[in-house]
Amino acid sequence: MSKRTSSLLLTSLLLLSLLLAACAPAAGPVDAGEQSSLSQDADDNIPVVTYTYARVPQPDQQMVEDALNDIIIPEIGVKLKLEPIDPGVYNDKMQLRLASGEACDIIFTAPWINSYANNVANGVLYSLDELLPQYAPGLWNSMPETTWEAARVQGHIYGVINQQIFPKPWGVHVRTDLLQKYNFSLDDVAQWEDMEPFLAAVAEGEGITPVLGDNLWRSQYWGYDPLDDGIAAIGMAAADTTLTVVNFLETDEFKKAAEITKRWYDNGWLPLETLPRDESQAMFRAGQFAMGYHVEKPGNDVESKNAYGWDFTIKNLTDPLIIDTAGTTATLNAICASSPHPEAAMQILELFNTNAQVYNTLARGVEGVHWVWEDEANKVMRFPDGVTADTSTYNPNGDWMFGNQFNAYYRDPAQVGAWEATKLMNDTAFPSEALGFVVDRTPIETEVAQVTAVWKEQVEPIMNGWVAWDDAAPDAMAKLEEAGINRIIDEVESQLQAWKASKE
Amino acid sequence: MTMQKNVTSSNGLLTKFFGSRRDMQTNLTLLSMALPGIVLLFIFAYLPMVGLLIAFKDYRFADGILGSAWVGFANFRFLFGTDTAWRITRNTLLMNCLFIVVNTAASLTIAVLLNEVFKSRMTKYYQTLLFFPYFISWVIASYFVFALLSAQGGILNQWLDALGVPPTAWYRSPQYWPAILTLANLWNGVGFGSIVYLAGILGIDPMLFEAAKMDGASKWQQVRYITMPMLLPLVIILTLLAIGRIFNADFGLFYFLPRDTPMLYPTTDVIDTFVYRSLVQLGDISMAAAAGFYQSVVGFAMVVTANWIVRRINADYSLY
Amino acid sequence: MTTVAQPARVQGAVQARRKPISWSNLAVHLVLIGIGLACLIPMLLVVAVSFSDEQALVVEGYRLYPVGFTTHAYTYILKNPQQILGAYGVTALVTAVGTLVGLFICALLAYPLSRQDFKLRGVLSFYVFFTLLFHGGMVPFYILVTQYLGLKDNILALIAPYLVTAWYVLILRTSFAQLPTELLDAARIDGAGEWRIFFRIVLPLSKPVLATIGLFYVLRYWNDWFLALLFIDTPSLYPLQYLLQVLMRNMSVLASNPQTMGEPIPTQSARMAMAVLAFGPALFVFLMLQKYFVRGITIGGLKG
Repeated sequence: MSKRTSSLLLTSLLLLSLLLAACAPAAGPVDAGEQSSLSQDADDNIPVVTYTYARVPQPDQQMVEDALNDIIIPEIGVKLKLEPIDPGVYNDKMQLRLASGEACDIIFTAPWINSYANNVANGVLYSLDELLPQYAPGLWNSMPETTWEAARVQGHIYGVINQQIFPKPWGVHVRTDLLQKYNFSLDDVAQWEDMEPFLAAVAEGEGITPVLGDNLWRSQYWGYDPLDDGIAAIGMAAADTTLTVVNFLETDEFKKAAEITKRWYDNGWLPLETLPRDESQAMFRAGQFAMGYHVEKPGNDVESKNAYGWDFTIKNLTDPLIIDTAGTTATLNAICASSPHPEAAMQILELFNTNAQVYNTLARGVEGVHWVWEDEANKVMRFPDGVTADTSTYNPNGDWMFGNQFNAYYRDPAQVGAWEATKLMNDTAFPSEALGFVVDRTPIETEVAQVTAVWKEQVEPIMNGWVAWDDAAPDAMAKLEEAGINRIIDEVESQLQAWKASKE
Repeated sequence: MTMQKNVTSSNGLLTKFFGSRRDMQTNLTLLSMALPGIVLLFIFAYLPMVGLLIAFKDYRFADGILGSAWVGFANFRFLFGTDTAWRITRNTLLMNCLFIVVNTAASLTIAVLLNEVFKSRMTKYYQTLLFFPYFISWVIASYFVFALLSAQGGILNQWLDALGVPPTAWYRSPQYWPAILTLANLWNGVGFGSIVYLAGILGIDPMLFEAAKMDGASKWQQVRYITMPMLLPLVIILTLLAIGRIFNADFGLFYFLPRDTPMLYPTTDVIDTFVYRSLVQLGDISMAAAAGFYQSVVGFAMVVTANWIVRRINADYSLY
Repeated sequence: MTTVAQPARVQGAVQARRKPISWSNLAVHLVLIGIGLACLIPMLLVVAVSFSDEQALVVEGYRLYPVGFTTHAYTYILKNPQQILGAYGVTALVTAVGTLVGLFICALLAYPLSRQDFKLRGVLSFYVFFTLLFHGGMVPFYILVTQYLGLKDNILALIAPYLVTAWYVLILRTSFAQLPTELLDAARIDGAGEWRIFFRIVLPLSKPVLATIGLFYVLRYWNDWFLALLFIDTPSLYPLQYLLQVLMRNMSVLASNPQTMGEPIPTQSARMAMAVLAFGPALFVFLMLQKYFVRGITIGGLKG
């Protein structure tokens, strides 16, 4: 903005404030507003690093922040400031802040909220290539180089991967009581179709819609690496050494998934339409479903019970497990290009990921106040007596957001060993040939938008079994081509080849 | 007031423009009255218009509005490259036309009915009730519509089932949505419309009705030959004003009621919902800006036309 | 907003058509009762569902009476009563100040535009009208308010942007233009200045339309959550609608990601309870003021 415009603005502002002062004595600013916290702390002259993330602000936020600083300041001489933003508005707020060039230090970013790819393409994230080994050696060495590759875009790492489950073990969680009642064992179930006798029996015997879900297309289950979660229409067979990008709609696996889904749908085993999540959750609680399918990671039986109130038996049906870029970068913490202290921010991230005390204080609160040991030897914690999840004054409920989840204390004795089991899954999963490749969406942004629109409108009905593949696929195929899917395929394929060449 | 004094004594150019000294005085006073409003509009409406540039740029967060690269009409070429532009334009125009016709007809009817029983104590309650939908946001209304139309246990399908009609998946059948949205919009807007028209009817000289009654005119004839002709100017003006806004859809209605269901886009996607999706779901700020720019320009043309027509009918009612 | 005398003409119309109840009138009443119910029932449903048991709702669906009466939804939302009370306070302040100041500034702007002898009338009318259609978009607006005006996390950011609304200015202008010119001319001959005319003649004569536009302002400020989404970060400055919006959105995020076992969140009934908390006071105010409001439109409507 030019000098003249700003002086004009200033005059206008003056007028405005005069006006408001004159007309409405009650309208004076209630709060002058805290100036940017991205500054030096006036007293001790140590850098202050703000961490902005998507959790509900907790009543004891300040107490936890102080407790964290009691550990962090002596350790690295950096002060941490927590800025939780309500998860319901996090995406809107962050995108607006970043789009307007507002400064930040550490932010939570992911493919599905405050989009990592979008932020990288827009140049708002700081390249961590040099900072990571220098200021966060523990974090840097905690994951193999191939894992870090997944966060690399155009040759640079822009985000710190939170360690958690990387492959997607798509499977089923089934109400244990119904399994017993209908005398059905999950041991012999190896694929979706094997559930059918059970579903038929439950539909008949209970008079309910047995399955809560929409469709059976889960790319990793069918052996595909989706390459980019933001481009639903394309992917690559995970074992394909030629790195050929495919249009999912044209694959046999997609057709098969659509056909099974259609059969389930026609049999009345699936809800008639996609249900809003809160509605379906209440229905599941009320016993109107028998099973669901999800990422059946170790410990998901406990989490499903939390969500739906029933005892569950879980079974992973994805074999082999595939480890791909999208799954590896499901949640990240990144440093802003606008941060005045990227080094200090990196040091903070080192602590989040390697210091179990820092991590658990951030994720669970202060020991003795917000949680107590149930079994310290096995690292199992619980709420203090008289405190529940609902009355707790610090329970942000999102371990996977803050750092290495394997440092998290267990909440339930039944979960002991879940991290080891998860780690084993991560280590033994079959790496996709494209693991570490990240799509640069910049040259195909508009095509992606168009293809996504067609996918939602034309392909999802096929996927959800509402229309038969044979009837609708040819038309949808034509629409996808019109929207530019072939340009996307060509572009991604050439990026893949270039990526492969650069590795050799 | 002090400012005004300073300006008055300043130069003769002003006198030339405003005519006599007294006229100038009046004009300057009037201008000073308008000034706060002018300034506020300048700040909050005109300054952000710098953002119209985004429609012609490839917006990159790190580069800002002025620093991002120019791409000419690329965003527009893309917008019009598929049938999306045509579809959102058609839906916006058709649905708004439908709303205008249906709401006007229903409002007029209810106004006439209210007038028939105007002296009754009940009328006061009717008027109050007609405003109730105003207090229910589209978000809340969308939950009712879902309870009514949901395929899984929706009330309407239960009724249809009782009548032996096979259930319909309403959220997957775009052909029904123009009617559903029209009904919802009617429910929301008919209260206000009918009160305005009732006012118009009450303003008609009662002598006219008396005379007609003497001549033995029936109720219907009175409505047909007195009420309607006398209301016509009001109807025309309100309709023209609505046509001026025809390019702006009610976002809440079109976004929340169909629950943002892609299968319903063929009949429910309008310019406003498209802009929102480009912005929030796809993060494509340039595309949103281009669609918004297109909406403004065409809407502008519509209003200028509507205004020209209004001015020919009665200059007092024109917008500017 | 004070009582406005009903024009004699309207009363005459009422008097002239007084007659006994007839069958046709009964039919008219039946139709109107039907329409009234269509407006009333959703409102009753909101209240009924807000007092219903979550599980019972899933099984039985919405009913006009509370199924399994419980106030769980309200206790859930009001877990933190200071927060809601604070939000009511912010909303009340924003609504009161915004409405009064906005109405005043709009009227001040509309009056010159209604004057045939104002030389800048055409230009300024267009200046106002142009803003109806052309908007810069969210990002530049955000940059302006946060970086150039410095109003981030400031309650003024919830008031200032809506103070002048082109649509209201144009309505007011049209209405002012209908005032009998003889009155204004007479005052001018008596030596009254423009300000005096505005305060002593124009405003008092325009009470109905001012009441109408005033109610538009009230509803607009009362219902707004968009400005807060853009500019407010401090929870103590959240206005009511935004707080409810945030609670509602958080609820579905939390429900989808339960790491700890808490009480099941009563999403459906809580949603409706929030609606009750949001429109309850507004509805109350409307019922108190509706006499003036309906009359305001009734009289304002005559004049477009």
